[in-house]
Amino acid sequence: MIAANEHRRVVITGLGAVTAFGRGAMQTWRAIVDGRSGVTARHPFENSANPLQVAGYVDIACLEGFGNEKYLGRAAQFGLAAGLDAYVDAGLTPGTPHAQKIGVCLGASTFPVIEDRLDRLGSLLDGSRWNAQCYAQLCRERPWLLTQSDAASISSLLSDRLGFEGPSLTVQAACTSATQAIGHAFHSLRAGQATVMLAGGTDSMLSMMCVTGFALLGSLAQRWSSPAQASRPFDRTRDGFVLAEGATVLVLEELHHALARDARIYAELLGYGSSCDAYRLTDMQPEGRGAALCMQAALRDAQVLPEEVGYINAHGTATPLNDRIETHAIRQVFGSHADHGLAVSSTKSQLGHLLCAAGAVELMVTALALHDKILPPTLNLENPDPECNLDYIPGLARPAAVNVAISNSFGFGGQNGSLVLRRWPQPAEASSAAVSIPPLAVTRRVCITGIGVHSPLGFDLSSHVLRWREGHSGTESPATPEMQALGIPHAGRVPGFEPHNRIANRMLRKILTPAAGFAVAAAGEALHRSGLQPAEIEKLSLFVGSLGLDQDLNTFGEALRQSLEPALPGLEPNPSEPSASASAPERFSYSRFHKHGMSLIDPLFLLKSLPNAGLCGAAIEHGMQGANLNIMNGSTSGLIAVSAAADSIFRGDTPVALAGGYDSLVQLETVLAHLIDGRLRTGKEGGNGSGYLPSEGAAFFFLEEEAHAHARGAHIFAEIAASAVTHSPSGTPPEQGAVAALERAARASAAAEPPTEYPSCTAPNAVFGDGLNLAGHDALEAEVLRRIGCRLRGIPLHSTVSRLGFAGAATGLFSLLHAALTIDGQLSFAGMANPEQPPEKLLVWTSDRGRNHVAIALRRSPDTAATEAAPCEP
Amino acid sequence: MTALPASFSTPFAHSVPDVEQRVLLVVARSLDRDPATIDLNSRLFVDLDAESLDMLDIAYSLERTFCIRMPRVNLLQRASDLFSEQAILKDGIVTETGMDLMRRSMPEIPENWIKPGMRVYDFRLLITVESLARVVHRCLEAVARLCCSQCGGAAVPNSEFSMAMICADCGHTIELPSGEHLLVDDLRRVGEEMHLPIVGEPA
Repeated sequence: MIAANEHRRVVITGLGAVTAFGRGAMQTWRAIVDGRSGVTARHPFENSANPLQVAGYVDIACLEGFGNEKYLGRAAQFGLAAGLDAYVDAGLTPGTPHAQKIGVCLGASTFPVIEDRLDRLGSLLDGSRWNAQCYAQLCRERPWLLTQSDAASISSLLSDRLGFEGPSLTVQAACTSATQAIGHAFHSLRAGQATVMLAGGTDSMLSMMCVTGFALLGSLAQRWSSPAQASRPFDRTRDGFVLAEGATVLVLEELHHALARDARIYAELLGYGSSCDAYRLTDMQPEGRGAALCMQAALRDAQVLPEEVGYINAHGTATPLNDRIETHAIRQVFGSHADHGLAVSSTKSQLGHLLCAAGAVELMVTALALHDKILPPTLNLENPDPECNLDYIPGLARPAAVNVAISNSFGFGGQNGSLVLRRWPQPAEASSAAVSIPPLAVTRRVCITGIGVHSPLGFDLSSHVLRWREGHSGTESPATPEMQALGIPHAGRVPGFEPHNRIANRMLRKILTPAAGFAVAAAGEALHRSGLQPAEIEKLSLFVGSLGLDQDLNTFGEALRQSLEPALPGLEPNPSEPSASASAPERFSYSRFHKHGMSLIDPLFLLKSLPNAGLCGAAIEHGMQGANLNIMNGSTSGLIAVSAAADSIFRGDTPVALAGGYDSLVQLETVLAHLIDGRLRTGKEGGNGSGYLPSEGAAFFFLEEEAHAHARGAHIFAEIAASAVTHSPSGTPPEQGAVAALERAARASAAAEPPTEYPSCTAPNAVFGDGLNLAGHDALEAEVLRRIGCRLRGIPLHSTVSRLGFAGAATGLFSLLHAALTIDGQLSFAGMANPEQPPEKLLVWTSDRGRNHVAIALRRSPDTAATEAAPCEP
Repeated sequence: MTALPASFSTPFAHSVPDVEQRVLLVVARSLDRDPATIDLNSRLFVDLDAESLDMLDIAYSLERTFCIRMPRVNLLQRASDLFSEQAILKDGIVTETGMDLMRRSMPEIPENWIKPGMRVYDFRLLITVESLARVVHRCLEAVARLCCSQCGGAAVPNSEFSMAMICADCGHTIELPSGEHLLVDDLRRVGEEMHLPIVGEPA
């Protein structure tokens, strides 16, 4: 039995992979050990006059059996196949009991795919701008155009297939995504929040715009003689990475659970560390500070000494900078051990760079290296670089029994992650499995001591609160021309956001989208209001819930327009096409795009649309180098990030964390996704069930262990008593998962109180929920409140959506902000029993279209009343 | 980012001071600096705190401003491809020959900036506003020499597409000269001056 306050141990019991070597973990592993390369050259587009592109392509035919999934994007197909395979490999079967304790956590990317729109481009473009109505028409005909780029749905699909009710999460940290996803899943298993997690990553960024984006950034290998030799990590002649696609999912399982069912164990996951470079968006910090910090954090978390590590699966991208700086960072962390018994290799030399899936496939390779006692090689290392002078296992795999290994990932934006594995002793060996793991310390209390906000009501807490109290609505700004063309007159826009006044870092002002800018500024306000000392800010943990795609399609308008050529003579216009002109439509030409179009695209566009730009921007602007997590789970992202931050303080990982998120529903594709679903209010009237207006914003919270807050005399807005994250698989009623989340949060928050029977002691004074003004969602919300007994007691539901619009991930955070300020006595809500007497307990919750649910229980800290300051007063 | 004044799109007005002034304005705008605080000798990475991303942005802006194609490669890497790595670099350090080649290729750089012990990635530390202006001017000269491959007619700006020219006589599209090819041509010329044998072609 495991005591409630004991850290659990976590082992890897299942593997699934789809890579350039085919489907199946062993397929990939055998090719790795054989020293083969998965990189091939193709003419990627229709016209073979285009240049060859080298990449680690997956032959989609290897996914036979996924024929019904043709409308899923490639990354979704890879991820599903790898996830299902891993589950089977672990010997688990669908319908396994305790579905609430099984979850999914995947790294995935969201980037523009233009391909399925090209045949209609002639009518989609008005000059160099997208015609909103024509595009809406096309998206109605081809609904998958919008769902394909919804990376957050991949985890959900996998949870659906396997009937999991535990958290179903998507993590986005650029090239560190999978490592971060695995690390987060690992920590939640170790804390007992789940017994099994399917964790890993999936990615396919070989579409035209993605390849264009990386090519324009100058990141890709160009000076190669044959495809198999293009990826040359640590070689003196290296000049960039080779793109690849694929997925890997690992089954992470609590040790006793695995032993009880006699599961095969590949390796034990011992530790995870993350850090931020807090330096620049693409350049690594020259001394490798962030890379060293995350390796050190992982070793500390694993409780192993540097000398115990025998192998490092390096990030090793083959960019001139990464390999030199990673080498330097390894030397810093391992000292003389780096030259005595520490082997390092880069799996990217064989597979290329799987981006958001890289950390997963590389952890799998590391686990199998320990298990099979053979270390994978670095291919193409033929010209030694004096600045890359470690033992990189050149050319051939090397038999070696290593006990402890590390896998590194470092991403664009400066998010770094390292995972530590230990070889699991085989039955024939004497059991050496005893590991000292620190017990979880006594229960900690987490409170909110700083808040920052950018909302349609204003760009700081004072103006937001003031305008809210005065009864202003934030949804009266004129909508964008595209929205107006679609019949949406107004939107909730953050008024007059001027990066020059809000962001000090020049490059961030240039790169960040307005939404990511809101995040940087709101994070700064929360930090400032917390009054934390600079020395502590440097080590601060940062948890962000980000939007998905933040891409203005008009960025490509001019380039695509110039890539059109007149249709072939004799081709009749398509009568069904809503084209204004009767002439034959123009046709997109890849060769014109390559020759003329590409040079018209902003070379920084890919960075500008990074979904982790808000987190990395905040880290760079405010100098935060600590642990970090970027959640990209649709509208639940923000509250999930806060929940994860609170958990890390509960666990004792950190006494302080900054958590929040941002979103913007103003980009054309985002607007269409909500409009076509019938969620957006069109026309001027806003009757019952007519939907919401799109909006945007950011909110951040400074979370702190209560004792820490007391010690420095910080003002406490409210205490976070508990939180819960759940998923409703398709086929189960969505309210089931939603009720579970709310109940769990409520019960957990009651756990520290006198034991009265649920729910009387846990009944909140109010629930701050979605209130989307949509028949289906409102009914779900009403049913959930009825089931947890709110209706019986007349407990009101409060929502900000009618006055702030719906701002996706930011809306849950606005609810949290209003709930915290209500408990603090600074705001009141209609239906409050006594406006003079702030409520004791409030529940905050949100649900993402009935799929993912998150609930946070707030309560009045015993000391809230004692502190006099009213920090949000102007 | 605000658009440049319309007159900046005019491709052919390119006296040296004119080009230099425009390049300086593009650099100032990209780096968010007051143009009065920058001069031709300002080093982008040393004096103006440019990052590698800025160079991409600046090259893109210069291409759009002058209707040219800028080279985006490291001079020393291309030189290694042409004249062999040993001639240009030893253990990652630029050789005497490599330094001589840089001095000849970048005449605007004071000779004493190119010092023994330089590494291949130190190359960018030398780049000044004037270096960019020189490259822009070189590209503009090549554009001015363009003529139609079909009829020999004069190349004029293409009203429909800013990043190509068109034949004034037959209407044939004329591609802009590649900045990378120009750079390699110049390297060959300098190599000839220095009697460096060519051992390979750039990949």
